[in-house]
Amino acid sequence: MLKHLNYTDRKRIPRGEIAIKVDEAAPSHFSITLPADIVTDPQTQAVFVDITSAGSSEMLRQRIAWEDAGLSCGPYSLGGIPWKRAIFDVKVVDYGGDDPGRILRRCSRIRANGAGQDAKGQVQHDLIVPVIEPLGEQMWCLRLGDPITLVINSSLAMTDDQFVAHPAFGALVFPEICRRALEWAVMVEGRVASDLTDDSLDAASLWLRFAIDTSPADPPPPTPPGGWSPDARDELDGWIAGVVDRVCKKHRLMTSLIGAKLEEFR
Amino acid sequence: MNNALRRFNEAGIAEFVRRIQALRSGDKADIDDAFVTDPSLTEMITPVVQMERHEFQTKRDAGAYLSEKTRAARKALGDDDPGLWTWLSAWHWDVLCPVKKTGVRQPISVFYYVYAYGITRSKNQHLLAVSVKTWERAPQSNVMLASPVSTLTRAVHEISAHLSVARIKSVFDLIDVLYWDRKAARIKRGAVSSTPRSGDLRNRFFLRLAQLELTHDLTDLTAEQLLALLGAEFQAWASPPKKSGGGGGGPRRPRVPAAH
Repeated sequence: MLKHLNYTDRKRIPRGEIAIKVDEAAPSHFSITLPADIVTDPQTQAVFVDITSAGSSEMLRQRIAWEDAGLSCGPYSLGGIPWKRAIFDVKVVDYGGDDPGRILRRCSRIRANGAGQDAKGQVQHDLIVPVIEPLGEQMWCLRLGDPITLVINSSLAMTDDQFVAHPAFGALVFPEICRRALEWAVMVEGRVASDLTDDSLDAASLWLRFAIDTSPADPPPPTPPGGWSPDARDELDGWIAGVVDRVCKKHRLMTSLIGAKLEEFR
Repeated sequence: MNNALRRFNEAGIAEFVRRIQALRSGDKADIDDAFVTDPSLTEMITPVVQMERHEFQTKRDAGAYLSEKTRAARKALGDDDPGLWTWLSAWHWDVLCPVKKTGVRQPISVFYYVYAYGITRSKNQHLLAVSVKTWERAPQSNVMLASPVSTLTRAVHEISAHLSVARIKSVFDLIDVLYWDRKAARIKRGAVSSTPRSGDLRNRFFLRLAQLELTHDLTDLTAEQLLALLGAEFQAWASPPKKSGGGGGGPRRPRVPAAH
């Protein structure tokens, strides 16, 4: 069994110890609760929360203030980022010594909770993040990266939530997304099952875990020596086809589509 | 009111695309005042902003002027309005696509003029949007802003394609330190060559930054600190350091960035 090497030399911030909340009456701000002991030297260390929105390269950075009693809970501004789309990345950074900027602790891809929601459920990890943009005559396209972004044509009358919730999306679009995302995760990103840990939250790992959970009796094929190549990938293609087939069966995607009102999909 | 800032509607964008494609095919097409003020193809933006046509020598000139002129409009329409950016290209057509010595205009690909044309990522290649957005972030950047507004140099292409690095506040200073030849006022030879060179901009710089981001938070580091982190591979590219008034010598004190 492969031993995992912590090459980054940093410690995790346990997810259960972070709570990010947004008061839905004032959704442009968030408050954050962090364990005080994540900072060992306030003179040389700083805590940042970087906030991004799926599909955008813009980032808003908030520095968490250090007060006598520990780290301030805020409130901190979300700028113009809609809170339901905001993805939070908490970092403790060291600016002392000869290696300024080293990340000492980190917890990534956190979603906020609205007031009154259960904080335990706040860490969500999306397989795809939908965004709406002009796409000419293309209805949708996929951007493979972290996260995997589903771009939906802004000319459609539907919202992104309506698009992905419609049976036509499930039956006609999602299987193709599965194929491409798994191919990318395994062939391009090189993820293998033995790499996955509870802390593997990047898009490639999330997709591989999704495939394994969907099809536990059919694990991914071992990577051949030298890696997968376009000429020798039959085994991988067969595994991906099996996973897609099980996704379709499990959610009865074709049956759902037959019974759906297609005129709503526009 | 004919000099007022406008935006194209969808029909205006489609017509502009058609005319650029006609010019690219060697046919005739006018991109003139009548076209850019046609009320069936454009909408006036309120409050009214009067536009002039300047002979921008560089992207820096264009960025400085248009940043100011479009500020209110972008606040209302957002930073990504295809109608606005595309209309600006048409309004400044003589600068973006000048008549060549041969007496004809030779437009480059449509997405340089039409914002987010084809694929949405092409908005990072729009000549005026790149100029304005870079000027607002790093007006001092030579690699990004010293070239003519009518083309995107290979270096600007490469940097625009890696927009996430713009989150690093000193990245444009660092790129200038490494790859800008101050004496010749141009990008250093080999920095964007297709043949990989140790520490070059095109093949190595962004990969090295991505590698560093696994272990370091680069956002608030100075160009000097970033250069030290990049490692020996990049040192040969660095220009001779500028003499500064103070702060030289002596041990460096830990620096925690100021609160935002």
